[in-house]
Amino acid sequence: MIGYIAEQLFIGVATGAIYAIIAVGLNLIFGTMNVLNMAHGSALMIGSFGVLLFNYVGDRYFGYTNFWLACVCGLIMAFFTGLLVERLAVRPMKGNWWNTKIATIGMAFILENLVTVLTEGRPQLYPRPFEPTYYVILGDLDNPGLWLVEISNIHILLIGMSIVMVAGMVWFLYRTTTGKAVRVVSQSQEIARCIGIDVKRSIVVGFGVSATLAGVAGILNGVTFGSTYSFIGLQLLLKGIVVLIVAGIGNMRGCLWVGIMLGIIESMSVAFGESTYRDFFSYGGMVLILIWRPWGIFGEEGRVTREV
Amino acid sequence: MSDANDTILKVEDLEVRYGNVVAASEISLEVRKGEIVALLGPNGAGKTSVLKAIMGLIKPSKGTVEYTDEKGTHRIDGMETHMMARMGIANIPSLETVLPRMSVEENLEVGGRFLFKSDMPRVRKRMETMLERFPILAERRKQLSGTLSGGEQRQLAVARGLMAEPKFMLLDEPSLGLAPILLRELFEMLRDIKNDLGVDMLIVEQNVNKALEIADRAYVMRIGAIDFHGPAKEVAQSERLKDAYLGS
Amino acid sequence: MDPVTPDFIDKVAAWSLDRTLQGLITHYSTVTWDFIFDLATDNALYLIGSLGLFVLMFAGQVSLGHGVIIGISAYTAGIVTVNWGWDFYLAAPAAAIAGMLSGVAFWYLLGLRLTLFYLGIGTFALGEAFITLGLNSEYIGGALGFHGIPLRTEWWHVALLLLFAMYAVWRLEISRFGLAMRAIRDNPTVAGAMGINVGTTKLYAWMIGGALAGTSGWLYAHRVTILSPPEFGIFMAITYILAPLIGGLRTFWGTVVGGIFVYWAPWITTTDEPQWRLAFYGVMILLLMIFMPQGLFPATPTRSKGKRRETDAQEAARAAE
Repeated sequence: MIGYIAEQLFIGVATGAIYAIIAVGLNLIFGTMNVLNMAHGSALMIGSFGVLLFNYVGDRYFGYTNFWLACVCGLIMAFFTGLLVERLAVRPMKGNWWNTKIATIGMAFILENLVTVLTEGRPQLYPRPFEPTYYVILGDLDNPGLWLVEISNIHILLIGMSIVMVAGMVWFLYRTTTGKAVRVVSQSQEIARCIGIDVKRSIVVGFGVSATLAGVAGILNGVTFGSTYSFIGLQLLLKGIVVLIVAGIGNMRGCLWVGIMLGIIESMSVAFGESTYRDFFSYGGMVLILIWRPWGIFGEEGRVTREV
Repeated sequence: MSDANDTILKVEDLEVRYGNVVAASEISLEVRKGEIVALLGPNGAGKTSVLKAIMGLIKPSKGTVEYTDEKGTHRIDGMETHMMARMGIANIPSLETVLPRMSVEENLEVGGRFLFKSDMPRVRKRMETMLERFPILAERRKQLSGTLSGGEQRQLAVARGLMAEPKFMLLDEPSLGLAPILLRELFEMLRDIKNDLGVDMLIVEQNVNKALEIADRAYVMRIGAIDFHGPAKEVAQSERLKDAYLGS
Repeated sequence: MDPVTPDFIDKVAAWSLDRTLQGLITHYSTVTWDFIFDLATDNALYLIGSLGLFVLMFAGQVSLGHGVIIGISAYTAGIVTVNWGWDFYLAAPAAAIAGMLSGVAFWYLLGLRLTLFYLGIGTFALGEAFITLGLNSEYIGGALGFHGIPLRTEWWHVALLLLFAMYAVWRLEISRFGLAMRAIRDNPTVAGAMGINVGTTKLYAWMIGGALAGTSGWLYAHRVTILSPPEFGIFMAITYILAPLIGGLRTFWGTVVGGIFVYWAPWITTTDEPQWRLAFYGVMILLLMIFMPQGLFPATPTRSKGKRRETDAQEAARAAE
């Protein structure tokens, strides 16, 4: 029993980590431009499928596949998806958040349905870099009973990656020139221009970074669950939005905590009862936050009143 | 009378529109080396629109803006604001003056960082110089700039502009929202900056008295056009100044 | 940039008409008169629900949970007919009231407190929450769906209801109440300052929108005969919001035109697969947002002949004197 609960706990933390990475990417865009990028999930999906594409092409024409190179391919494709979304669905909207939301939804429709057509809608198997090995934390492998607690290296990878992603994002925003530019743009585009920042370029960079992050999430998701499908982007995007709203816009570390918390709540509800209530907690929780504290648990009060 | 070699900024026949509404038209003015020039006029006269067009925040529909530095004369109308910043022109906008969620230090830092190709030692040295010149800011260097008072924020905005080691500064209504005591301090500071650091200025101002105290020349606008201009003392005593503001 | 000149529209219209006919002709084997008729009936049903959403947006509210309100009403209609044995026609007021009450719930929880952005996200979340509740409810069949609703909806039911809905919304639009709604949409603070009770007006908007959605839910249930919670989710919400989006918020006619377009435009692509149709929707949405973000009949018309058209808030202020 303990073993089962612990197992669900680790799964929860792992999935939560993925949600957190997605939310961090969304946060970056929302911070810079006050718009919600509904095509974020598409970048995730394309990053994830990019790996499959590389392996498919490599296998068919060269007889060669390599997981890590495939990852690079996937991330590059995710990056360019981000740029594409920015160019077509964001820049023409001139900052109007409502139009941007709808336009990015349109973009997402296009991308996701194209991929659906290409894959005939079927889920695809996902390559794994290494076989999952389980490490025993508690209990005895020879005498499992109820007390066996194991953690797999995949879980460790996920948790590790999400921490790295969040830390990396924080480092990027606070310690690099480009990152600082992004932060300035998010506070005042006018001042940014006056001090020599090319706002257009910063926004493009922001989208690129955010999309690459989404790609990472997509690949991690594929590795964890062993498969992926064309609508995975939308699915995970919705979870990411929940995390973002509950955590509060503008706070990267908050995304990590809330994401993991969400993952745990979900897997606990699976462990203890109706798995169909899983989504209820996430969306219901989001509604509660919006009613009670719209700027999120970690957010700053001022941001709600920002002109939307 | 006007020595062409002396002109730093030359605006000719500028027109600024918002959609179909003309905010200002046929605007021509000059700023020469060693000058502070004031652009005055009542609310709605269009002076902020003119400044925004010069700053590159709005694209003018007609006219030219030329800036002269040691490399020669360049047309800057239609240029992106951030490119202007790289040419040594500092823009101090009126409403959003500081980056509220960053500290005083960070505000100053970003003022210079993007222009000096991340030459951090130079940026840091300049920051210390600025903090010496603006002691109030030095006191609060670690504070979040959003928590500063209006006057302090205005000083920070000017200091940040100076971080770029500019030759020329454009200020949009620096007196906005400031209490009278702070006004004197600010304007004296501006005059000192011109004298000590050799930064010439074009100041758009509502507060006629203070502006004319430190300006060398002034242009007065009225309903979208330049009504008259001249040396500051003459403008201050002119009847036309009163008319422009009170409308007759 | 203003590429939407009359010439341009003419050309696009001509091209689209041509392609649509071609599309229909290519599918002649699958497209029969019956099929078109069916599609038209579906279209009309969709329009009723869309008009309900239009009423909401007319008052400045946005709802991405509209599908759920329709769903709740559809389930109500189904339950009363199947489980309680009511007459088909009695299910109508039941569904309408269910829709209205759902609207009130949305209003109370979200409409009162939140503005545009968070309202949109919030309605989406609340809708999803309701869907999960529905999935877990044994009484209504849960994830397996609710079966056995009698197929009672005739084309003339839909037509009559649509005409009624259009009439009702038209009267609303030109009434003083409609003016209040427009004022709120334009600028809630100013509207409040002029003495309009913002909260109550919003409440009525949600109630009317909900009631319209409710009646469309009633006919929907008795047309598709099987209901399941997930079908009322985000995809339905986006489909319903397309009509007012395309049509603009100035008048309900926009939503009507938009709604017709949404149903017939995908036939421009000559394939049947739903993916291509959805992808096509995506392209249309993108183009729409780039070139006509305010829709066909924009809420704030641009100046005509140099004279300023007054904003809705100004109009309401005038009327208040």
